[in-house]
Order: sequence, then structure tokens, then C-alpha cells
Amino acid sequence: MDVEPKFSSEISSVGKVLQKFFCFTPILLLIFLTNYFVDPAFLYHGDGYAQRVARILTSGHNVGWVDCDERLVQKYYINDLKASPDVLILGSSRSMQIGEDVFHGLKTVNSSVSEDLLADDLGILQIYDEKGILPKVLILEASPWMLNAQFSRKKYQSIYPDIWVMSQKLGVRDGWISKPVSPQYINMFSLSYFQSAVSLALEQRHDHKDKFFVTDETAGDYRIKLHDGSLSWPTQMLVAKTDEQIGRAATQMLSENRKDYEFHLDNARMDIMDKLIGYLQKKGVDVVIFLPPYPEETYKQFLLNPKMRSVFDAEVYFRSLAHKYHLKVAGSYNPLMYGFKDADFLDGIHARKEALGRLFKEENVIK
Amino acid sequence: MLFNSLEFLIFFPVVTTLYFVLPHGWRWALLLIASCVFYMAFIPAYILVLFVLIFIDYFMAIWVEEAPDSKKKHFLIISILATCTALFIFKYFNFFNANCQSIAHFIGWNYPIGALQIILPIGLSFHTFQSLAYVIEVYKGKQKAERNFWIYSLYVMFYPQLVAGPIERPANLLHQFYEIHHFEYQRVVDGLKLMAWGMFKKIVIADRLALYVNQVYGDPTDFKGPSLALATFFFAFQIYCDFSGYSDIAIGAAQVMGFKLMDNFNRPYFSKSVVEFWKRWHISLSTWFRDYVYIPLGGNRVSNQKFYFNIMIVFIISGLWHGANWTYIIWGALNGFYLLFAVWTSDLRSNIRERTGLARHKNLLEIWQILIIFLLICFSWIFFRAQNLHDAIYIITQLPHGWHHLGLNQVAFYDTFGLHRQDFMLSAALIGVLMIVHRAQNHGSIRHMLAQRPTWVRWSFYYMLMLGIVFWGEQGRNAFIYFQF
Repeated sequence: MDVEPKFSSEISSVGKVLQKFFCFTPILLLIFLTNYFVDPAFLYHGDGYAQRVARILTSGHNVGWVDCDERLVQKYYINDLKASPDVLILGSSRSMQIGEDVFHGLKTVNSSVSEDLLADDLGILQIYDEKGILPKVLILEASPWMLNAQFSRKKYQSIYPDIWVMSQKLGVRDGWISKPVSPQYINMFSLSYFQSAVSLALEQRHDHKDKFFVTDETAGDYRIKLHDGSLSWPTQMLVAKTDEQIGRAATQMLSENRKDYEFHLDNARMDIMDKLIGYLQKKGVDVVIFLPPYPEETYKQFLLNPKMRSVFDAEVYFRSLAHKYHLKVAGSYNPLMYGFKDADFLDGIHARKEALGRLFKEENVIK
Repeated sequence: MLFNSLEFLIFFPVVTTLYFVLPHGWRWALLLIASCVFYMAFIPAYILVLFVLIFIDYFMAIWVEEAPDSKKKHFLIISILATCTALFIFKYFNFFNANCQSIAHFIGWNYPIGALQIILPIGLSFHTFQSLAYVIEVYKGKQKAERNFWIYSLYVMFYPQLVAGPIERPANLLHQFYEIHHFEYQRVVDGLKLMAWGMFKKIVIADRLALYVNQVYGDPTDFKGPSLALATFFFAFQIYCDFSGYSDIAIGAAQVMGFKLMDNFNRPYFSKSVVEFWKRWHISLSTWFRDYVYIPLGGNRVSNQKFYFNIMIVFIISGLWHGANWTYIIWGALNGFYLLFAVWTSDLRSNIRERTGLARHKNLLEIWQILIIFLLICFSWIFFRAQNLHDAIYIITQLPHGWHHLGLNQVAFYDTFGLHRQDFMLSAALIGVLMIVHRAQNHGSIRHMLAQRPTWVRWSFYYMLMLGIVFWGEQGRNAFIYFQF
């Protein structure tokens, strides 16, 4: 008998709770409108921004850099290039510092992007290929996570069509990568995006022109994207560090990115890598496999953790690939192979430019 | 699955809606599946460890109940051994092994046993203690053994408190799975408010303070006394807001579905003695140790020496419960020592209070006691937070140094701490807000107080809470500190 009244009272309670939630919609609206209109990373009004950054770089100036879609900048940058580079560096932030000052007298371009994956390499090389300006020498960073199918941070949304085209050229089956959800959707109600937008608005840098600036300086307290595509880290990051600091940075890096290194080599990615090298060779590109060294502490932790065994397997694989195609190999994950000391590193993963320059010189990678 | 994640933001309303939509007879199944999904979001394979332990304790409890008195204890011991073995293998073996290795190395022996390459299953210390509480209560005859395997599994796995407590007792939780919970407006809204407050404590206060604490404790050799002291002060609030925030979300989430979990914190930094602190901090663990370790050892109804031993052993085990590291053991021992010191000096302190006239100024005395206890607890947090003993000793020895620039000017003040003015002010303001709220709780529950205010006051408060999360919440998906235990 009293089931009905109880049920109706429950329904009315649900209604009341929903009403309360509805009262918070102004907050959701505030987040959405701020994210959309302030748009600190140019997700909603962004193409023009990436294009302008690319134009400045190709016109020979540097850009004081603010976060934005690096892949999109690469797309415009490459399209603005007039001729094939002599040397192209392609990799992640671990290769980003390498610029024309390392290869004197050669037209050098660095198209590295943060957290570069094999998919990014395919996409960027496709843009070069389509424009008909593939480089004479390609220094291809081969970090272990490139063979990790489970790598979680995928940023290749804006060059996804190019990746798809290159995959078709290589005869790779569809479905080896998934199309990532557009950051435009992810960030619509994102609180971190909202907070960036608010701090940007408070700094009164509403105008998109103010979000980066043209400079001819090559070093400063901020990140500078140099006209050759390489990156100059903020001077604060370049300060000399003790062995202990590098050791701690290594531990922290691995605790934050443990899953990047705990994986099994993915057969599909090894197959694609193989096909890509074959394709580039056919196109006359001289590929150099670049294995950026890790600090001693990072490497030691790879050795101690059996789940990170694949790091060594990856190096063996890349070397065997180089052997198969008679490619040069520069570097090794093992820092001792090239006499890298802790002083040669900025943190637990990035080597200093000078140390990398020394490595390339020793290996005489450019004939 | 973290409470402060997008996944949980979807998971919780879906599970709660289904819970109320399903007929009562199916709800336990939904909760059990939801709990499995929740747990498997971390490392899926470890659910097997959980089920093995559930399986063992389920049968042991039945056998304890059914066995003749002379044999009851055997089954209890088997259950305790099984649980402790799992804890030892996953949590303590490598610590024990590393210490054996050091000793062997010291005396020149060749020690062949290497470290186990395993990751600690999340929440192991919590659910094992909850299972143990159940079997012990059945052994004591205070609890009937649960015959329904799935309901017992749910008692151990109930997702709001599975990975970081509160460590529930069977008498409080088990029967609730049989009760019919209706969607009651006031209860649901109260639960949601508690969750929002917990989320505020976690992502606005704890995670913001963590930025500075992690920087300093990550490499303390880069810092001097003021920064080390400030980071320790911040850590005291970080760990409180982190853990009590988790507990609030857990209790609130359970409350929305109609379950009542036990309180885990009661404004511990307003304690006037160490004993009081431990009655207000991580209450579910403190009472667990009281009921299942301290009292069985004889409690305080023993000789003085045995009483001192009992106190120290309980606190050292409590330290070890938190983690397999000497820093935790020392943290536990230090708290045990505080307690004993308080017992030894009780008369002396009482005399001093009388002679100085402090005893007549109750408010002043209270502030003094709260301050002293807070400082003592902060000091012990150094061991809790430091990555190793070397760091802890460095921090303690450096605390008195580097204060001379502090009073020069405003710039020097912030430079001395190595913190931007804005961050310093925000952190101080957030701690201030927390303390004001806690102070107000002297007069009763904030939720009830608010309920008596006009609508615009209530809604201003809710809006400030939500806007606080929106504007200042750290969005880095930082795991809760107690997940590692």
C-alpha cells in the first residue's frame, strides 16, 4: 500500500536534487565561455596563430614561445620552407635543442615535437614528402617509447590526416593508431584550461598577438623557438646541476613516466619503422638513427627494473634495423658508451646541446 | 580510479543512479561489480590477491564460528597468518630483505636473495585490516559469520572505502548491505555536500600545498631552515587535507547511497594532548590498533614497564603499517615516545601550570597546548615525509639555519622561503579558511549551521566552495597520499 507514496516521494527527491544541480549551471557556463573566448592555447581560434608563428620562423626570426599545438606549427612551417633541408632532426624534446649551430654550414631544420611518437614522425615526414622537400640527411630520434603501443599521451590530432596518408603509402593496415579525441572537446569544460585562461586574462594579454613575441635573441628566461625549428630552453633550466640533483630528477622522471618504459616491443610499430626506413631510402634520404643517452641514474633504474627490459630490447632492435639498412647509429641509451656524465644532462632525460653536439661530431654523422 | 578524476565523475553518478533504479535484491550485485571495476582501474590482476584473501577469511570465519572452543583459535591463527603473509610479501619483504642484505654485507657474508619485483596492491593495508577485524570479531563472538560469500566480499570491497578506508568494523557495515535504502533528499544532498568539501580539501588545499612540499622534500639539500620549516608546516596541512578529504568523499559517496561509514577525523590539529590527537587522527586505524593490539597486549592494566612496552609496540607497528621504511618506524616510535613522555611528565606539567598561573587562564592554556602539540606533530611529520633517514636528519639539522634574511624586507621574506608572494598568500589563506571552518565546527556541524541560514547565505557558501575548486583546484590527478599504504 505504501509503495506508491514512497516511490513518488523518491521521484520528487530526485527532482529536487536535479534542481539544485541546475543552480550550478552558471559555473559551467562561466567555464565554457572563458575557455572558448580566452582560449589560451588557440584551440578554438587557433589556426591563424600557428600559421603566424610558422611565418615568423621561416622569415628568419625567433619566437618567444607559449604553449600551442606544435604539430600544427610544424605543418605550416614545413609548407613555408622553400627547399629541402640538408639535415632534418626529427624526434621529441630530447632532440629539440639540436640546431644549425651543431651542423655548421648546412641548412638544418629541427622538426621535433614534444612526446614524439612514431605516428608523429610519419605525419611530419608526409608533410615534407608531399611538398617534395624530404631532407638529404634525416637524424631520426629513436626513443624506446616509440615501440610502446600503450603510450598514453597522444598529441597527433592535428596531423592525423598526414599520418593516415603516409600509413597508406607504407602499406600499413588501418587501425594501428586511433584518432585521438579532439582537444577542443576535451578542454571545453576543463578546469586546468580554465585556470590557464584566467591567468592569461589577468595578465591582460587578451590579444593573441601578445601570446608570443618575435625576438632575435637566442637565449632568455623563457623558451625560445629558433628559426631553424630548434628550441632554446630557459636559462634557468640550463644552470649547472650536481650529480645528486640529476639523480633525483631521474628518479622523479621515472616515477612520473613509469608506464612509458614498462612495455613490450610492439610488432606493428617495428614493422612500420622498417617500412618507413625502406621508403625513405628509396627516396634518397640518408637516415641516421639517433639513440639519445639517458643519465646514469635513469639507465641504472632501467637495469634494476625487469619490467623496463624493453628499453634494452628497443636499442637492440634499432641497431639491428640500422644494420639491415646500413644506417649510421649515433648514441646509445647507455651514457657510458659516449662518456656522458651527469653534468651533460639538464634533468633525468634531456641531454645538454653541447654534449649532443660532441656526440654527433665524434660519430661524424654528416659525411 | 581516483576520486579526483574524470572517470569517477562519470562512474559515481552512473553507479548511484543504477543503485536506486535496481530492485533491492540486485543492489549488492551492482555494488560488487562497481567495486571490482573501481579496484581494477588501478592494476587489474591484483583483484585476484584481494579475492584469495576474501576467500580465506570468509571460510575461516565460518569455521571459527562452527568449531568447538578448543579449535576456534587455530582457524583464527590461519586467517591472521594468511593475511600477514600477503602483507609481508607485497609490502615488507623487500624492506626486510634489504636490511638483511645490509647486515650480511656488513659482516662480509654473501647474500644471494634479490629483491622481489612487485608493486604493492593498492589499499592492501586497509582491506586486510578490515578483513582481520571481521575474523577477530567472529572469534570473540561479537559478530556472526556472514554466510553469503558475495555480501562478505562486498564488506571487504565496498568501493568508497576500499582503497584508503575508513577501516570499517563488521558490526557497523555488514548489516547495512541488507537494508533497503531509499532516495532521501536530505541524506543525498548532505552526502554530496560532504563530497564537495572533501574534494575542496584535496584538490584546492592539499594538492596546492603539495607543489611546494614536493619541491622542498624532493631535494631538501637545496633549501635552508625557513623553507624546510614552511614545507613541514604545509605538509602537516597537506596530509590532513589529503587524507581527511579522501575520507569525506568516501563517507559522502556512501551516504548518498544510504550507507553510514565511521568518522575518520575530528579536527586533529585542535588537540590539546598527544593522546587526544590520536583519538582524532585516522580514528578507524587508531581504534583498530587499540582494540586488536593494545588491549590484547594488556593495555594499561599491567605493570608500568609492560605498559610502556605496549605503547611503543603499538606505535612502532602503526608506523610500519604506513610503509616499509625506517622513516615510518621512527615516526611511529617518536609518537609513542611523545605519549610516554606526556605520561611521565603529567604531574610536573600540572605543577608548572599551577605555579605560573596558566591553569587559571583556560583559553591561554588551551592555545598553548594546541600549539605545542601541533609543533610536536609537525616535527614527527618530517620523518613521515622525508624520502629517507638521511634527508630527515638533514632537514632537522638545517632547521635553525638561514633565518637571518627573513626580516630584511618583503622581497627578502618571500625569497627566504623560495616562494612567490601570490602562492604564499594563497596557501596561507586556504589554511586560514580550513582553520576557521574547524573552529566553527566547535558549535556543531557546518551543514546543520548552514541549513538554518537564509538561502542567499547558504548558496553563497556553496558557490564559493565550487568556485574555489574551479579557480584554484590543482588538476594534475594527484593520487591520494594514503593510496600508497
